[in-house]
Amino acid sequence: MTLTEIEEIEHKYLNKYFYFFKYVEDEMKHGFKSMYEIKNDWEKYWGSKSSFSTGAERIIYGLLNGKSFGEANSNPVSADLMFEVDDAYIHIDVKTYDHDNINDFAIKHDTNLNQTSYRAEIENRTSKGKRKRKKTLNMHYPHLPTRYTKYENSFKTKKLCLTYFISILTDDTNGDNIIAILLTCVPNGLLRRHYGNRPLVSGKTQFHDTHYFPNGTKYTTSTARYCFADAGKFELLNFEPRRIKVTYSNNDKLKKYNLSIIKNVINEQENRKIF
Amino acid sequence: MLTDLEIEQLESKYLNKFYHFLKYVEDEMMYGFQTKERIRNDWQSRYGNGQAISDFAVGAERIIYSLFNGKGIGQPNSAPVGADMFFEVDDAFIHIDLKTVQTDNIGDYTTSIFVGENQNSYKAEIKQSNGQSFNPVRNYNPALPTYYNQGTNEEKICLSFFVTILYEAGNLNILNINLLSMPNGQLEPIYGSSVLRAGKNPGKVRFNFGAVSDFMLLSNKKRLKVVYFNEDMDPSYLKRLSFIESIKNIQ
Repeated sequence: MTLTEIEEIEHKYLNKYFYFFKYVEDEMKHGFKSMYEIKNDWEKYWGSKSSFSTGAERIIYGLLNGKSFGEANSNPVSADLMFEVDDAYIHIDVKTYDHDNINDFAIKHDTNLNQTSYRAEIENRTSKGKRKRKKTLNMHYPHLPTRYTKYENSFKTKKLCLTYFISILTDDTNGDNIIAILLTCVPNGLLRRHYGNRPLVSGKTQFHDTHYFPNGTKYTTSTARYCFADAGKFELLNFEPRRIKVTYSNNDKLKKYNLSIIKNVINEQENRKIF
Repeated sequence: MLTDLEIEQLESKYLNKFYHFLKYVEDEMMYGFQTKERIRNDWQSRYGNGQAISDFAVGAERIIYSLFNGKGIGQPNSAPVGADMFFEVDDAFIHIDLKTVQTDNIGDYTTSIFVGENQNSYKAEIKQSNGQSFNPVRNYNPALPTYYNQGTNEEKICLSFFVTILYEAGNLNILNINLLSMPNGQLEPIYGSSVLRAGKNPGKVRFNFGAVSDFMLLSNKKRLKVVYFNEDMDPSYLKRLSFIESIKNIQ
């Protein structure tokens, strides 16, 4: 499989999920608000045991499991959702952000070790987007393979591993008001030959471990974030379509925030200048 | 009763919802349309040879109805008077009918489409293409109400949508799929007779979507959505579909 073919499959499912979420947009919004129908029963416990993300994820997973496609897989090492389709295994994870994390939401989204296959060196990134190697080499080694090996009836086949994130931005901590919902496609690890270290920046957790490459070079490991500001397009496809789709936006609220990439995506999707 | 604006907002909401649904399942739909090829030897000798035991529409409808029923929305309704699909949602009763046309009849497809009395609620005078009344005057009386359970607590608006498919005669390749919203009958004072074109027989009509492609009460919203458009089709077909292509280019 060529790198272009990988991007074609990534792009195909990005579009399919985008249209799926547009199709169920009203059901999703209704679902997000359903918590208020029983508010008196949970309000006093809220903020300690749970968060908006717990309920929001339940709604999205309910829709994906009920009306979506593919066969759910029971693999314990993976994202919240994992489906098998004819030509791939698909991982989907939901992430929620409030306006305190808006800088992260604007350009980079958390990836956990069990959610992607993109391994790379983590470099320092300046506010202007320039990259510089860290003093001690820092690596991100996710747990997902670039291709799964499927054994069935004594046959062995390889299937691509794909990763998608659904990221929800709210303007308060109880998630009452959703500003935007993004769908992003994190590059498959085989695409490192094209994108290099660009898709990743430092994550929340730096592991206190020390390792050595065979040549004696010392390195540490950490979690990472997918930086769509630096690698946010399918660069091997015609017209370089974006790896981000905005599945919902409250444009009046969005105006207040410095989210230029997301605003550009909306303009492109709507085929007119909104921002 | 809803205001005219509220009706158009609902029509637009469900037009968008079904458009996104059909885009979401586009690959599954196309795959479904192709499944006939796997067993072609078993049906080919009986297709299109004058025996008329079947046609393209039978298979295509099976695929689309299966997707709607499996992944769609609402409660199917068992009323015997209605379109092929008829279901109830929170704020409406929705009729959807599939229309397949082959390229030999492309003129029946480009700006208007035949609709049945059991598929819409648009009651109006049918006029000639020059805007003049027929003599004697022809009035169209569809079988669907503008509201179900009108005047009761159970009152709900009745909406009509059409999925139209153009396919190539001979090889059965699909060239175009559209989704149309036909105005609810309450909107007759707004759209008048322009929604209807005279059908081939007296009392029969076509939905004249080329003349009413905008939601008149909403800004920048079309009553037609292009779900699939084969850019590589024969130029002669492309020319005939210029109106539909123009909608596709701005959506």
